[in-house]
Amino acid sequence: MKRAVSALVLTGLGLPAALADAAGAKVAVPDPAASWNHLWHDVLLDLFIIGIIFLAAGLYWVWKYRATRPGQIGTAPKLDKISAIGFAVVPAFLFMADDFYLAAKGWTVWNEYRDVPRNAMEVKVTGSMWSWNFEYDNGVSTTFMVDTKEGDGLVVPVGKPVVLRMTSTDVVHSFFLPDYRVKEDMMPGRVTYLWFNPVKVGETLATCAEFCGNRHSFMWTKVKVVSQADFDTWIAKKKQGA
Amino acid sequence: MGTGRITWLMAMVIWGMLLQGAWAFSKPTEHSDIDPNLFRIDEQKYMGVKFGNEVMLLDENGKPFEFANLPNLPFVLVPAYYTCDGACFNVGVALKELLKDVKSMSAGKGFNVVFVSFDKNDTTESLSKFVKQLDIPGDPVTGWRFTRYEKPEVITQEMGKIGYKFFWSPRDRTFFHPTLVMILTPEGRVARYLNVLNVTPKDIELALLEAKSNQFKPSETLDYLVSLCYSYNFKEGRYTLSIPVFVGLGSFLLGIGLLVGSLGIYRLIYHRKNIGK
Amino acid sequence: MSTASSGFKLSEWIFTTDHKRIGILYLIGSIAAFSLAGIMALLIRIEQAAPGPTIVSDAYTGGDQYNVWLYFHGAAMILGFLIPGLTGFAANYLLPLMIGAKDVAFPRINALSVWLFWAGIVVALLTFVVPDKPDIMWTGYPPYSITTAGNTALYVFTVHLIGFSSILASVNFLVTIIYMRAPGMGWNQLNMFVWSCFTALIIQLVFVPVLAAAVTLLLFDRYLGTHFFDPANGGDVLLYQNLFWFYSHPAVYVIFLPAMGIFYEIFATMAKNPIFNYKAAVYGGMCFIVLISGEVWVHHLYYSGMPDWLRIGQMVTTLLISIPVGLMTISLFGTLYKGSITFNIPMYYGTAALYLLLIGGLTGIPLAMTVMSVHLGETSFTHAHFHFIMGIFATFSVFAAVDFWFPKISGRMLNPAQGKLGFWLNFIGVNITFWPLFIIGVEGMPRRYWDYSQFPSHFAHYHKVATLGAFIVAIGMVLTISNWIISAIKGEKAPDNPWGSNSLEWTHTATPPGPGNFPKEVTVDADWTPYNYK
Repeated sequence: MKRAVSALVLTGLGLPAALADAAGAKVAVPDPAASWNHLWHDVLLDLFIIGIIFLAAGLYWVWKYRATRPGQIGTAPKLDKISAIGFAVVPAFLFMADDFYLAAKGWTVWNEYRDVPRNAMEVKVTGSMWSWNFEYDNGVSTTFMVDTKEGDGLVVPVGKPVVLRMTSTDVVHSFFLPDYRVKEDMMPGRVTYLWFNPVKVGETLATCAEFCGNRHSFMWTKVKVVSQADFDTWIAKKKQGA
Repeated sequence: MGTGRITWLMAMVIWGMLLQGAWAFSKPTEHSDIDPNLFRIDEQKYMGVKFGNEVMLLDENGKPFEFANLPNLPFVLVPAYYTCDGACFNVGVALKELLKDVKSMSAGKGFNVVFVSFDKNDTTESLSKFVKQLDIPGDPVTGWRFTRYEKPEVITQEMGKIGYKFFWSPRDRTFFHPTLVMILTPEGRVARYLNVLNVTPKDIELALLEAKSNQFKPSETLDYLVSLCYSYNFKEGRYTLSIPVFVGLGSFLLGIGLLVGSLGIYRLIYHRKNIGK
Repeated sequence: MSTASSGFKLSEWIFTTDHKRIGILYLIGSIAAFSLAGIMALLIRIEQAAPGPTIVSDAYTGGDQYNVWLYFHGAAMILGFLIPGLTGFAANYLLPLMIGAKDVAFPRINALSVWLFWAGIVVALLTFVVPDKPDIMWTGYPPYSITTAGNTALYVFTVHLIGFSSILASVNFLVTIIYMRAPGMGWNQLNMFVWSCFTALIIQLVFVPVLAAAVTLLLFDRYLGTHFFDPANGGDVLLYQNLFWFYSHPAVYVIFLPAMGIFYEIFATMAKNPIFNYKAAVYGGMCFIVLISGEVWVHHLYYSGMPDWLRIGQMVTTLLISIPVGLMTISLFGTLYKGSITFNIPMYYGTAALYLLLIGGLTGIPLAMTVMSVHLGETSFTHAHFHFIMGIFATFSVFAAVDFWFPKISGRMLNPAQGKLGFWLNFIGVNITFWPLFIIGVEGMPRRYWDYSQFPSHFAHYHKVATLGAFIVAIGMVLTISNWIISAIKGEKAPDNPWGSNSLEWTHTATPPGPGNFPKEVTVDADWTPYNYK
């Protein structure tokens, strides 16, 4: 029974995870969007602390040191050399420490964003004014028409990382998946990539985030995350249709 | 000798066509039996495609060859067939000569060269004969690998995935194929298609640097900076100087010059005026 | 002695070489650009108030109209208002007065600068006349700017004219600051505003040629058939973006530094305090920014397909900007400490600036982080961030500058009630406008969209609130600007030094200052500083 359950879980996680598990190494596919959300909270906290300290000091001083009679002058003490240097060096180091803290945290998540899992499903995305075309490994290709709402757009199986290999036929576009917290530009003459981990079945969207002319606002597509079985059926049907 | 002569001719034809305007083949010539347009690769379509993901290749000794076992370096992929004494051999020789002049890195250290045969009839014997003929310098030879497909039935499809087309001509008993090599990134994605008979060592070097641009070593910084001055020209199939880089750099220097120059000149005027007083 | 004494003659203004009049000409031009840009902003906000066409004609041609508004708003605000308002108006009017000089080093070149700027404004205004209106945003990225039917040349010529104007102005003022200071005035006795202009103008002089060159290549590609940015022919699309931001990120400091400089002046005067840790703010803040400003441009290209190592490298340099900016901020806040603060319109703006600086600066931190930017970049979060720091903070600094030096410039006092009402409407309005954009930005609302039907329906509510805010700001702006015009004509007469400042432009000049600025030559003692109130 236990074996059956674990087998089910493994299929859910996808074959590579199963293989990795079998090989004794526990390699879970990371979820960059979740890491992003986590980091976002850390960063917000950091900003709140700095912001509150400064704002509180500023507002308090503005209130406390308001002039009470005309002709009054300020009584700020003159900084001696040591305290002047101290007030420059200490904050500089505090800021620098915070910078490096944030840079290190950001870098960790960034590596997740750029290290594409080996088992990722590859889809080729071609942007052109003003739609996206998706091409799967086996030659199946789809497009979503914004005006008629026809076409499937990007369809991916749940639980399997997806890497998009992207280029553009005309101007600079940017493939922005708000729900997966990722975007990357695409342009003629170069290939760029991004990957995401569709952890939940459902429908979301991708939209263009780099100004591309008249119908920029309308350059979006459906992104459907379906179960592996549904995906297989869909792709088989597509293949027949094509 | 018949076969040899025709393959030579074929290589010349393709070379000539490529020289004329890279991929923009227009019409077949009287020498060729097939339309060279068939060989044309729409580079933009295939750039970034991963090669050899799930393909089994066999190495020089007939043992499984895995890209994953190669060091994490970009590589030059050379499609060839080992019984070919014409175009493929010339590609090999040309590549050998070109790589001699690539100063910043060498095979085995900065990159690897991997031959892959698209002839299902190639064997370990034909392979080793080809290698011997090619006479790669170095003892032992490093960085040059020769492979063939384990399963012949996948060859056309697998090579087609990276846009490489070839035809067997029963009449001439030879393959018609383009004289291309591919520069692949360390993870095996197509970064550039280069026609070895049409490029300089600089082009190969730039393509290799570009293929590993994310991982250049500190010692390669200078080469990398130089590479920024060039950009790939799809029309000509080679790297050309990127003029905007120089314009940008020049205008930045102009800005600094304006700052230093105008202050300097005024300083002179100012001092002269004050001496006059 | 005063400029207004002999009555108004147009030719006197057109052929003037007096830095004060030139400054006022800059102010008029930049306020004109600001007003038009403001109208564009209102059109944009009305369009975004609801998904689907609101005031644009329909879904197929709507983009053509909307993109022109976006283009003009951006180009006019940055090239026509912020840079000329700060390094044109404020620097022209105040620098020679603050350093005790009779005029700038090259008064005729100064006149040429202002008229080049006006020519740039006129070329920019052609946007509304030509049939093929430019629609390439103020960034003008190729290949779109090359393939569009819109008129890229107008954009390029605007940049050329205003760019050339600012190069001339930079040389002029740098020479003025270095060689024309009053006898006895050392570098550590300079006004913060002088220092901020000095550093900003160095940046401007060094980087403007790069922008001019980049847009010139754009012009060649568009009209002469060259292939500098065309990848099919050996060009590189990304190169333009690099060149553009290599100038345009430093341009942010060309705006930020003088804006800070103005608030330092106001704070020191209103709190009757010396600048807190002057040397740290000048050398560790402003001068450090000059050094680092050219090494951070890639943060505008975090998701543009640059090599990964560059994205990480410049994340670190970008984050390190928090050091000089932090030192300047501490110095600004610290100037209030144990002060004796008088509240009037400029100080209202100053207090608001503390808050704007914090919000704008802190929201820049996630955008400086490569991985955060991969989601937040190009969303209305970015949009709100740079509006807080560049849009509102810098605009408030120009307003505060006009309000603060208004008695000196016009010889009359502003109507305080109208000024304060204007301030409150402006301040409340901008918060109502931009906070909703922060929120939906994090949820994924992209910039530069006029229709957003694909997104959740609650986005529309946030956009409506933002539009409401924009109208509140519009009323505030009308009150503020009309206050200047009315008060300049019939305001109460101003004393020479109404704020009791210790700076030369208040203590040693007539009101308004006449030709030659100072009735007698100015010399300063070794212990004089503009902030020495003891």
